[in-house]
This record gives sequence, structure tokens and C-alpha cells, in this order.
Amino acid sequence: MKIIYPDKINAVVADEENAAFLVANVLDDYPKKVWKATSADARLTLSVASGAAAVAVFNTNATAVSVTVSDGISLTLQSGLTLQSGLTLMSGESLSVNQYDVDPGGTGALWAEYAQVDNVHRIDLDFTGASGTIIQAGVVRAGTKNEFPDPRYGIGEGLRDFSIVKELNNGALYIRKRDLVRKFQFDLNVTRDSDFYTFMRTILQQRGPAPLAWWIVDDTGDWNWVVYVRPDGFPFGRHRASLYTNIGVSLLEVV
Amino acid sequence: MLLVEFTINGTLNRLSDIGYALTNYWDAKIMRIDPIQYRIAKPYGGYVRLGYGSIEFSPNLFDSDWPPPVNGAVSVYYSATTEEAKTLLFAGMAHLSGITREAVKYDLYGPSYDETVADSTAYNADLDTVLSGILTGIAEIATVDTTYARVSQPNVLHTTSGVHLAVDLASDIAAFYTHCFYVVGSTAYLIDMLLDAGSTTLTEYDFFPSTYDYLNPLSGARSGAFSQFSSYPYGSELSVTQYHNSQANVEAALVNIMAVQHKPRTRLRLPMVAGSIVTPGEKLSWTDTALGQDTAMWIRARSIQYAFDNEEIIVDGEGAIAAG
Repeated sequence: MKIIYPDKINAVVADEENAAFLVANVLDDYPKKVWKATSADARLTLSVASGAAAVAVFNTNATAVSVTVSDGISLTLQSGLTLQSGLTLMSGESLSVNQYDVDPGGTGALWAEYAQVDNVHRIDLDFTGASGTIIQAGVVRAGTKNEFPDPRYGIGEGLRDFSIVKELNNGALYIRKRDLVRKFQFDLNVTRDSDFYTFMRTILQQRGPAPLAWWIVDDTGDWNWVVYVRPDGFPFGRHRASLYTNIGVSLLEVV
Repeated sequence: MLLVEFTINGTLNRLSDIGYALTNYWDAKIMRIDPIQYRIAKPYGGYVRLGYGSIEFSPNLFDSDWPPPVNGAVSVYYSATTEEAKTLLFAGMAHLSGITREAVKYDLYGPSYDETVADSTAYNADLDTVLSGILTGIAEIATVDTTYARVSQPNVLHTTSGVHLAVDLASDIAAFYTHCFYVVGSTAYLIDMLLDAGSTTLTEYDFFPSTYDYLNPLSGARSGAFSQFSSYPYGSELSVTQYHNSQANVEAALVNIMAVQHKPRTRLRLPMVAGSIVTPGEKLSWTDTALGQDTAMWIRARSIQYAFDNEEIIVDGEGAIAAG
């Protein structure tokens, strides 16, 4: 199991942008509030602070994404943008380039990892979509990769329905379908010190009820469990002894 | 879809109760909104006034504008499909009324319509001419649409006594001649209470269980020296202001008033779905098989409540009932 926290994206620019769906939308916590490009291929460029080792994308319609990490190819900011205080534009060499097929499970999510870079660095996300589509993405996160053992005894997965269902005059149902989000429940068995404290104090206590980029079960490499989720009630740990702790976790996807 | 435009410190914000990616993104920042409702002045006619309560926004809408501004222009729309097809329900001002930990609350205010008609103003013309003259004297109303006014217009012969609010005077005259009017944007729509302003046929898949009511009966109606009596002598008597001195004119008006008053009524609950935005005067017809026996019913919409929180449009109106 992996969680990206803290997020270390300092700035993001796009080579294409619909004026009504700005690139800044990928930095908020709402996957449905998307950035839209203007064609079927587009690039996001992230400026990322030191210490990051993973990047995740949610609610994209791209079929493939090339992830290029570099500490150096010259950055050119779009007109009107300025660098955050303390940041500098750098030039250098590419550290890694990986091509990913997105969406094998129909969830529009991407998870990519790279060797941790202990300097301000750059990530280029080159999105490619089916012919005629307009590339979009809801949330992008890049930051510290926190690793934990995968949930034991598998995970529970279901849906929470926000639709409206009311009875009509003839007994039929009026249904207004709204978002159905995924929910997950599982148990973790981790070391009390340090995994439990990292999970509970360094991540959840700091982030609170806000969502996180989460890969719930990573050992199979299945991206169905790459999700942008928030705690559905805060986890509760039970210290079995001084060494290990069981934690019950319930997560709810955000929209 | 509930779509709200709210201007905060000069910046237009597009908002909704859940996020919608339409031509623009309508951000999910509305926590709650009171129903917006048209309510008719009298059961037999008058001004169908738009009523509005308050709207509550998520506090993070004001992250860059804290504390929230005291007021801002607001427009409330409904659309079943696209942003371009949205229908304006309300346009006015939102005035800050409270800040809590969970929400920022604004009360909604519509146009004031505070123009008056002077003492001793004389009218002697057809109803639509008189009402157009009064209503377009209100700054916010530019035109009066008479598409659904009575074909054979009654004459109005009246001289005011004292100063009247223009909209109230127009409401009283319209009600006397069993007409109603409502305002959208800068247009007032004048509607004959005896005519359909559009029509829609519903199936039982189109409405929720609803209630059927009758108003208390009138034993008669009186206006000045003229009166008409009903076949319900046990009812109460209605007294209305007289807007003509002709016996035939006034008695015809009283007959129409009692006819509308005595029609069966329905409080019809509709799902808020495509095509179901109802406007005043629209005829709705359906058959209800959930009563003692199948029942055919129709009403003309008079009071309309857009209850976004309940996903319902609640329509009150009078019409006719028959075995289905």
C-alpha cells in the first residue's frame, strides 16, 4: 500500500488549456473539476520540490501517458505565471522516461514512481487520447511516497450512491442518478513504530479528512486500486503488543 | 441542475449544489437553497409574485474574499440539459445574513417595484392597455406580453383614490378581471385565468403522490352595488373593489371570480427533470389511478415551488376533475 503525502507540486503549467477549465484545477481536491486541454494530446509540466518519488493522476480520459522526470530540461513558464519564491528554473538531464497505458480498469487513474529526487525537479506528463477526444485530468499529485504493507485478508470494495430515488404516483421509482463512488474497507497489520505512527500521525493527523492519492493494494500492480480517497471515519488502531498494530481502515472516493 | 451565478467582489462565480462540467465548470459550493416560488395574490388572479428565501454557500467559496462581502448580484437558473439551455428563475441581490462554521448564508432580494400611481389617476381602456400602462411605469418592467390575455378584453373604468403601489394596483385590477401576471427579467406576462398558457400531459411516471383540495365555497361575490350569488348559500361572501361602473361588466367579472374560486384544486408534486419547469398559467393534465377510482384531472399552474433540495417542483392550481 502506498500513499503520496505530502504533495510537493510547486507549480503546474499546461501547453494547452480551455479557458473555462484551467490547469490549476488539477491541484484542488475535486476530481470532477477537471483541467481540459484543446486536443487529443497535451502536456502538463510540474515543478516538484525535493523528496518526491511518485506521481498520480485521477479522472483523466487519456489512454496513455508518458512520464518524464528530469532535474533539468529548461523550464519555460507560460506567459503571466511567475515562479514561487525560492524556486529557480533549471536545466539538466532527464532522469527517467516511462510510458504508461492508462485506464486498464476504467478508472482513469495513473500511478508512476521514480527514484527519489532530492532537488527541485520537473515532471512532464504527456497525455495521449483517442482520436477526437479532448484531454482532461481531474487531480494530479506528486510527492513523498509512503509505503506500508498491503492490507491483510484482502480488501472490501463497494459503492456509495448519491442518487435520488423517490416513489412516483403509480409505485414506480423516480431515479435521478448522481455520482456513485467507490468505498473500501480493509485491515492493516503494521509495525507500531514506525508504520502506525507514520500512517496515523504523519499522514492522517496532518491531512485530516481531506483526500489523498492512495494505492491500496500495490503488490499485484493493479491500478483499479489507485484512488483519490478520504477517510470515511478515521481509522482505529489496536496495539497487539509493543511491536505490531492492527488498524481498521475505511475509505471513500471523492468526486 | 441548479445553476447559480454569484458575483463576489466583482468576480463572477458559477456555482451549483453538485459540480457540473458544462461549457463552464459550476462549482459545488451551494450547501442549501430555499425553494424559489411563484405565489399568486388571490385564488382568482393578481400578481404571481416570485418569493425567495436564502442561500447558503460553502465557506471555502470565500477563501480569497474573507470575510464574505456584504452583498452581491445573484442569478438562479435551472437546466435539465446544457448550460446554454438554462432557464432564469431569479435575478436580484444576495445580502449577507450569517456566518457559521459550516456555511455562509445570504438572504435573497428581488426587485422592489416601489413606483406608485398618483391619486385621481383615471383609466378608461381595455384591460391589457391599462395594465401595460401601469406595469411599464415600473422601472424594471420594459414590456408586457399579452399572448395569453383574454381575447375579448374587458374594459376598465376606474379613477384611483389615494396613492397606490403600481404593482399592487395592477394586481388588484388583474384579479378583478380574473387575470394574473408574473415577471421574468424585464417582461411581465399577462395571463387569462380562464385560458391555458401552454399545456402538458403527464403520465403517472411523471408525478409523485399528490393532494386534491377545494377552497371554502363562496355564497356570493359583491362589488360596490353589484353582486352575484352562488349555489352554495352556506359559504362566505367575497367583497372586491369595483373597477367599472357598468352592471354587466362587474357582474361578468364576479361570475368569473366565483367560477375560478370553486374549481377543484391540486397540489401536484413533479420530479425536477427535463421539460418539467412549469410556468404560471400552464395547463397540466393527468389521470390518477391511486385514488378510490381512476380520476382524470387538470389544473392551470398558479403557485409554483422549485424545491431544489427535494428535487421537486410543487404546483398548485385550479382545474377540473372527472372520473377517469
